Amino acid sequence: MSAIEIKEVVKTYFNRRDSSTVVDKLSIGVERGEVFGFLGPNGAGKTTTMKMLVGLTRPTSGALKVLGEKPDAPEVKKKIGFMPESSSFYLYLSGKEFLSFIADIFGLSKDKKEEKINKLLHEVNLYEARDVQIRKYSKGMGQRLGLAQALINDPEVLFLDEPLDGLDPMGRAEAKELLIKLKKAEKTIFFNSHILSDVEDICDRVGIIDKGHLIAVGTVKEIKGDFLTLEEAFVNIIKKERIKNS
Amino acid sequence: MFNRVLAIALNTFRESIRDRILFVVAVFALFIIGSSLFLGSISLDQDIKIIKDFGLTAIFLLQIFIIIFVGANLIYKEVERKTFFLILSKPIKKSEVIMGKWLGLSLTIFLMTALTSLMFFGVLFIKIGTLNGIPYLILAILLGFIEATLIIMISILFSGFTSPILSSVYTVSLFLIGHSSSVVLGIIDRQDNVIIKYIFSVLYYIFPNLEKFNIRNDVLYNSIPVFQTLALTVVYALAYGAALFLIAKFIFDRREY
Repeated sequence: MSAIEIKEVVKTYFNRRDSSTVVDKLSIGVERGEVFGFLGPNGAGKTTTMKMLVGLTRPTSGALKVLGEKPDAPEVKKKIGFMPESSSFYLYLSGKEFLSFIADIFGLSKDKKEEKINKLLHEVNLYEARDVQIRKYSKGMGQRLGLAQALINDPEVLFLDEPLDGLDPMGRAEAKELLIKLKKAEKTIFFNSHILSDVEDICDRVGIIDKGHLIAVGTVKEIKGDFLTLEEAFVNIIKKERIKNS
Repeated sequence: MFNRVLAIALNTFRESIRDRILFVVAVFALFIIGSSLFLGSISLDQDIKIIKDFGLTAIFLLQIFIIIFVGANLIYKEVERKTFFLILSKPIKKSEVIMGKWLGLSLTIFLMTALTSLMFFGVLFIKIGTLNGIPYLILAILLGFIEATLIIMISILFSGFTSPILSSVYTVSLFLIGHSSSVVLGIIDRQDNVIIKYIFSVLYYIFPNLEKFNIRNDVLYNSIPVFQTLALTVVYALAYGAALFLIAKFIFDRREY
């Protein structure tokens, strides 16, 4: 059983005057323990796909399954972690209070909660700032807190929307290290990113989406082909596709 | 289930008591209560009544202002700031979030009501030197609190599908209509046209009858409603609150983020 199955998924937003299809007949499978990079230009449909995978929005047609169940099934939600793009928080809470709140939603016992929160705060390098109100955090600190909250329930599958965005080189290196550690722990990771050099280092496979259509999928090596970097290959694939469709 | 509701409630409570707007409103209420001492002293033999009147009104206004300024933002802010993305991707139902938000803001209002009531009773004690009549005042404040919890649910319902400003406008409108039920009854009595009579009768039962919770004037004149009336008022609040909750749940369940 695949960890993530997306079959012929279409997502169309309707308003009074017109409609727009942001994801069109998307089909992807991600195996357990695999790190999958979901790439695409802005507005390609990456975030919408991720929102469907974590049960925040429903597909117009097609089917999505996470760990063999529909994404909005409570049993699935217990086993996944999600970090939205530009994570937002309750600004008047401290980092530790916020993690405690998320742990309470998962029903973690008091002892386990304390232990888990302290461990995560150390891992994302926020332990020193644990009692500072989140409104005083920098963007990078917010991103690291977003990553920590996604890991509070020790998830089997992680959905990360731009996890490295806004981090300085040190923060990026630390976050990358953490993702590689999670990969070694055989977690399934599905993530969107614009920073393709990091994708190249972390991902087993990547998929490229443009204007809602999946235009390429394969191992990093396959996608790169003769290009030196994934970024060059990515730009070339998008350009070719757009010329084909123009 | 209860643990998750409690987690949302405590989070809402913590967020709202750290919101500066709450303190502005609380200071305003305390100022009114404090100034009632002065106003009482310049009135002719009406000082106790004026202090009671001002105190009860200040506490009620405090509750309403908190709902309007904090409650109307409650859900909208979550969607705007995308905190809902984090919460709703966790194993929690939307109905648990609604219940938690309602409970959290009710707790905030309860705390602020308790603090301002203590000050109110302190001012009264300084003036009259006895605690006589205070149980009746507590009863009036408690009924006002029950009304406030109902308005919180109305505010949550509106903030689920509209902007904070519109949500505040709708909530205040419903609040004013709810306190004008006697006017609607008067229209029904005076109306000869059966259709208009029917429409106003339907509206009378659809809109909340918030005057049921207002015994502030009765308390001032030592006229306390009988137990049965009070019990029926509480049952009314529970039934109306449950209906509002179900409508809010229906709206939230259909909404995508």
